[in-house]
Amino acid sequence: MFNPQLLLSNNSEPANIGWVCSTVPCNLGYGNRIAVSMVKKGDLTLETLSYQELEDQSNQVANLLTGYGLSMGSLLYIYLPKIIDYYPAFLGALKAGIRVCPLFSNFGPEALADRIGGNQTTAILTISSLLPRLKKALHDSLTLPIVFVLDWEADQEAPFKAYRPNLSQQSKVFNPLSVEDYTPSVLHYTSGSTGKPKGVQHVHKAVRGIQKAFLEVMKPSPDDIYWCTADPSWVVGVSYGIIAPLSLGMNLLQFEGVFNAQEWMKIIERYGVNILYSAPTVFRMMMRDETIDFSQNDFSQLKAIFSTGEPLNPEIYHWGVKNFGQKIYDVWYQTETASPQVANTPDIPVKPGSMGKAVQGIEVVIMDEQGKVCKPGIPGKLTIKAPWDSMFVAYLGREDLYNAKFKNGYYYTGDLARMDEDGYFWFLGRDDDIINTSGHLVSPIEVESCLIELAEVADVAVIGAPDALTWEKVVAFVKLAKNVEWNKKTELKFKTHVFNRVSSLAMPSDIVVIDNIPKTNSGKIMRRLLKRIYLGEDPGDIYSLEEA
Amino acid sequence: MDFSTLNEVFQETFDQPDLQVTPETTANDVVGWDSITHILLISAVELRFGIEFSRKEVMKFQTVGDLWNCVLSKL
Repeated sequence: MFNPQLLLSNNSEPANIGWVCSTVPCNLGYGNRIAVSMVKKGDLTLETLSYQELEDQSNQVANLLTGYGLSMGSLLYIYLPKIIDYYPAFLGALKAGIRVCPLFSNFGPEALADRIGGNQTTAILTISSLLPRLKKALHDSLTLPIVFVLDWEADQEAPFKAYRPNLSQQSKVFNPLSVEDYTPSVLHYTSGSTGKPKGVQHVHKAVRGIQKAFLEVMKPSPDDIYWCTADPSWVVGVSYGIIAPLSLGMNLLQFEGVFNAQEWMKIIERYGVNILYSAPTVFRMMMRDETIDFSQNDFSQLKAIFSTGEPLNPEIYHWGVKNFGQKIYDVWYQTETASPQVANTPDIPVKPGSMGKAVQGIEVVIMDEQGKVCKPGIPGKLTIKAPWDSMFVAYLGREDLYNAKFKNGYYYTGDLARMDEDGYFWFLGRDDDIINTSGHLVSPIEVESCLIELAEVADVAVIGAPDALTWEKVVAFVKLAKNVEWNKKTELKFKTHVFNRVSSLAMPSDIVVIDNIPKTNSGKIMRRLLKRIYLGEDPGDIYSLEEA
Repeated sequence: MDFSTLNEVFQETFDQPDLQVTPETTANDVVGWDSITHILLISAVELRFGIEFSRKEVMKFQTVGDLWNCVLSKL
């Protein structure tokens, strides 16, 4: 049983996330408990942070940032790989009322530039290996933020500061700022179907919904070793990789390295992971890895596996039961929801392939085009009754887009689904052009904007197509410029360009050369037509296809 | 062609002109080298050296040294 004083449902006072995740556990006598176990690259040894160390270091971060002029409402971007310093930095900023925006360490300059900006007081925490990309992204910035470089030993020319030496001089005492329920906390960016990525703003109040759903869905015990493999730059990696377990005084485990099936198996076994939370693409990669013999590993400590990001097909579910001796529970959530709204949980029978049932206290409804509730079995738009505890409060600077997501008190998720007679939901697809690849959303516009920069490209259109490994893959249709020869070298150049400018997730898996990009009279790319062409289907009535 | 050619492929693929890999380097040591870009890297190596790897060979690469030894066996 968890200490009742850790349970936010027992307390109605507004709670600063940074305080809840470090100070409260220390005040309850958890100071010597391990909060974070970071598995090091290479030898897979552990580096740990106790709750007291987390408290002290996050207080130092809060003092450092406020000392440089950041205050309530300022913004700290964290552009770091998975590294133990992430946790005190994240919580320390929140303690000082500073918003935190995590940035994926695989982002290239264009993806960074789309997310960093504005004239507010900002700072960026990064590491020297990522600095070249960051400098390219900041090249055209009018106002430079303060840039803290984690592994530098001394400050360099403004605005570049050495993080650790400056941090070590700070006091370990800091009184977390009082927050209101709607004080902004974490800012995540998510791809939109048009234009640049949208800044999804969350608030401190979200911690209540995050913790509540975590307890209901994952059924953790206080002493569980919990590994959420998601990178902390994504919403799952923040709300379920940091906030939920630390708010309960648990021991979270993370791995510095990239996916490697053999290493991951060793980590689960060596450190006795009890709850594993990962993604279908990861499980599919494990399934395909012929070098693993699962019977050689001891997974007896493992008591539950959860999955999120894209739908979990029944094949993986059955594979999980066979090889881990555990069911894999599919959990659905979005950047905007910050916690699961639909989930398979250990206390309900699993229907393999389904998203599960609505989480307790959440009203999930399938709506038709007219906004009427669909009967069971009828496909429609997946909506959630607003508000819920961890609901986002804004798309930064885009009130129009935010308001457009809500109709008659329901949030329209952009996903299509159906609900069966037993209340289980079944994912059917997206109702926009966004591509879900390996559990990450990619905007076709972002990839097109990147490819069109190349002199070899005259025109381009990007779509998502089904993929057995990543659920969907990015496919680019390219009209080449005159006299450009299509060969493996050109293809490689195109892919490498997207990887280095945007990210590996946005890189097209397939590039198709085409004479002309089909467009409507108004110039809109006919993506559905391209998808049918790509899949070898009959295009049918192409005009009704694009108007649908 | 020698090991420096392979290093050039790494520099170009990951857009890191100063990158120096060694036979002991793994994906964990190179910014951006993940399961997705691994395929890109393999294609770039194949193109530069005029060789082709089998799926089984690609699965077995744990270090740059493994990759380099496989390249050498095909030259």
